[in-house]
Amino acid sequence: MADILIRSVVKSYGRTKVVHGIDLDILHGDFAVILGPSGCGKSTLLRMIAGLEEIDAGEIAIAGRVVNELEPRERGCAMVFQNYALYPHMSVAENIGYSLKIMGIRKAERLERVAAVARIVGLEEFLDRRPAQLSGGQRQRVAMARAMIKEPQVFLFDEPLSNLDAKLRVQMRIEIRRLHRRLGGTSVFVTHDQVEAMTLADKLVVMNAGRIEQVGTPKEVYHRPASLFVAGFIGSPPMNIMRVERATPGLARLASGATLQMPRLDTVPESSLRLGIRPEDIELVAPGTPGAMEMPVEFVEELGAGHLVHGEFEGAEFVVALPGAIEVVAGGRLHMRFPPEALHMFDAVSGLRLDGGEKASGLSSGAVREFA
Amino acid sequence: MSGKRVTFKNFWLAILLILPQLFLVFTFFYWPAGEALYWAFTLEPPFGGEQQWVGWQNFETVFADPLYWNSVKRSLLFAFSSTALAMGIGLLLASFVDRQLAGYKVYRFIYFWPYAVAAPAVGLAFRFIFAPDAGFVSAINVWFPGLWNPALDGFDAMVLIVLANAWSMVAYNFIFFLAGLQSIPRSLVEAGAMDGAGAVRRMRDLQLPLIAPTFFFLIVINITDSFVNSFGIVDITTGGGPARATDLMVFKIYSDGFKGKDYSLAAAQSLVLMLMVCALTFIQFRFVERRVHYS
Amino acid sequence: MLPVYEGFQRHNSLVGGASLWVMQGKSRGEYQAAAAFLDYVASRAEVEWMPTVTGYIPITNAAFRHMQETGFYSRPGFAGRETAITSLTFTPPNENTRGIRLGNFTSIRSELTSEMQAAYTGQKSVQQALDDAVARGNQILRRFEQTMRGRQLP
Repeated sequence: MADILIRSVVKSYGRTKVVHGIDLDILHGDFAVILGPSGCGKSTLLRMIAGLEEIDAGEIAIAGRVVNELEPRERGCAMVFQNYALYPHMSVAENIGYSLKIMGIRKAERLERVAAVARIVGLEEFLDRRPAQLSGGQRQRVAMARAMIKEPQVFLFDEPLSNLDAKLRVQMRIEIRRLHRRLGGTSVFVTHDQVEAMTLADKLVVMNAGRIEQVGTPKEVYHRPASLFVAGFIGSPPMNIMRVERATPGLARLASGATLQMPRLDTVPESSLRLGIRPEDIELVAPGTPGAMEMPVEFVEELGAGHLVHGEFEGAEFVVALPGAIEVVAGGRLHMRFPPEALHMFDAVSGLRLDGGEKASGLSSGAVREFA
Repeated sequence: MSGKRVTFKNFWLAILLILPQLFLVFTFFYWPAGEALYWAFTLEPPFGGEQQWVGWQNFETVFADPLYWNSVKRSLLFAFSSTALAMGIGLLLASFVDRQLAGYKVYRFIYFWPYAVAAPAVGLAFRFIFAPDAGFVSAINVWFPGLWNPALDGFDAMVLIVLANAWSMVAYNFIFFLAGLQSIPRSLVEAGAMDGAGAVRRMRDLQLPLIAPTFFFLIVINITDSFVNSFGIVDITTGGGPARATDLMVFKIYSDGFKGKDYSLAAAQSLVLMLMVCALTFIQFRFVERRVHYS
Repeated sequence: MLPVYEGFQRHNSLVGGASLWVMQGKSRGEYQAAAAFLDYVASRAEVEWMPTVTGYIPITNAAFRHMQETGFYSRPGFAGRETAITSLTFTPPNENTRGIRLGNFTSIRSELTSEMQAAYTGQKSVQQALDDAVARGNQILRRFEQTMRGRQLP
């Protein structure tokens, strides 16, 4: 079974530490997506699994074998690169079959297997072409076919879709997922695109500044972000964050002096904290409702299925997502209610999530809406 | 190829600007070459005076001389072995630096230095290092008496000048190979590694085909250089000996012309060498032009 | 002096080294200058200076005698140098032992050197090497003859 076990892995370039001791288990059959902003160390981690970067400290084991000292070819991984990395002087067939050639497999069998893989990714007619004669999507397929032909236990994807246009990207996403199910190995996919991450992952790993912020299913990560960073990084538009002070029991005081009913507040010791609420979790109420919050509307982004209302609330930018049926105009005022169960509590200093409590379900029921 | 051509509106200004360069090229190339062409068809008295027109006689003398063909053979042997050695080592060093082995930044800097050393200086250094009685390499003769003596053994002498010439050309090849290797996207080599190819296999299957234009360019430069610029090394180390074992074409031209004072014979040989180098360059560039370029 | 085989007669050794030539066809003034220069080079002080700082022999008998009289050849560091003169003047020079003047002499000498190297390194027999040197030398002389055709050499 091709489990990938990562233990306290560290990587530095000169004096700059880019990966600060990562622990992560990716089990056989998982489709793990490592998500993070550029420079967070996610590609470096993937390349350490592949054997393209040395591991400075810690251990990586694949299928029960510590691979730290193994060459890439001894690790049983295949990789799809961001820019496809096809061999420009070889035909499509030669590109796909190169690893078999190195293994010393006879030409007849090689051609047979190349043809079989080409059929899966729909490249049968292009086998004699050079990469330069192919479209972006076709090159992507060649890269996939080249990775598949060795029937590896572990598939590594290094932002493979970022060079494709939006439509092709959606299509390839589905194909990669289908392929994973079909081949049944372990996949690790690195991306900075949260939609890609949410749609592909069984296991979503959010990284920031060389550390793992959170590991979970896409739903868990979305609904219970483990830190302010995850809350701000996952979801589009991101979660609204407010500074609050703990006042009388069950009451949170906002910067402006307004108060929020929040019984869960009493379960945590900290007095200075951050509250977060997703734009789509905010409810509108009639003006004058007790405890209603008021926000002037600066402008409205129309999305068709709904709209995003932008304004300033408690001295910070604030976004409310509303269904299309509700009419809002710039210059007007929004009267809002924050359902207590939809509020996320974070430590103001460490940025970590404070409550272990469940977040009420039924709110957008975990479906990530893509606003793009 | 499709770059915009800069044109001067003022034709005479353009002429004026290139005149100094043209003057240099004329004075140091076309004029002597023309003179040599004339001498090759005359008999030129060593201390001046009436020359006589002898037609092809100088060339007939040159081609009929078995010792001339000996020097052609030695030159070819020298050119091909020092080219192979210099390019092989240059490629090896470049691939080490390209793979960023420990200390590569220092090597990248110092590997180029030998190219800046003039040929006679290289010759002098190698003459001392490889002196059979006192040089650094004389240790060989302590373990295996008489194994190494370029003053007596023609093969040793050839090895000596090949090593010296290769050493000075390695730097040039290194720089070009390194530039070529670094122009290949890193991910391509990494893809090769993921496909299971070791370092040597990747060099053969991926990197070398992709730097083929650089490779052929360097073959042209190295062979031409070995033919033309070897004089300094030969003159200082072996003087063409022993028994003409290192009597390269360019050295024979020098010794016939300037030592033997037979300018006409030397001029005829220069023309042959010039045509040979031109032909070699032409053939190789035709070959390079036809190579497929990948982008 | 180097020994000779028994039964062989010793002759004077061949003179070699640099030489100065005055070419024909120059102006009177130039010849006067050349003469003055040769006088200077042959003056006793100059002739004695050269063997003192180098290993060359004095080039005039007068200078040689003077150096003998002043004890140059018995001074430590210079003793034994008279051997060169003894060798050069061992017998009066005959046709084969006097200095060589040949057309393209340097070419011929280098052919001789190469052929002797071939003999010493065992690539040819000594006889073969010498025969080849003669053949090469003759070819060079023929070319010289052709180059200098119609000219009277002094």
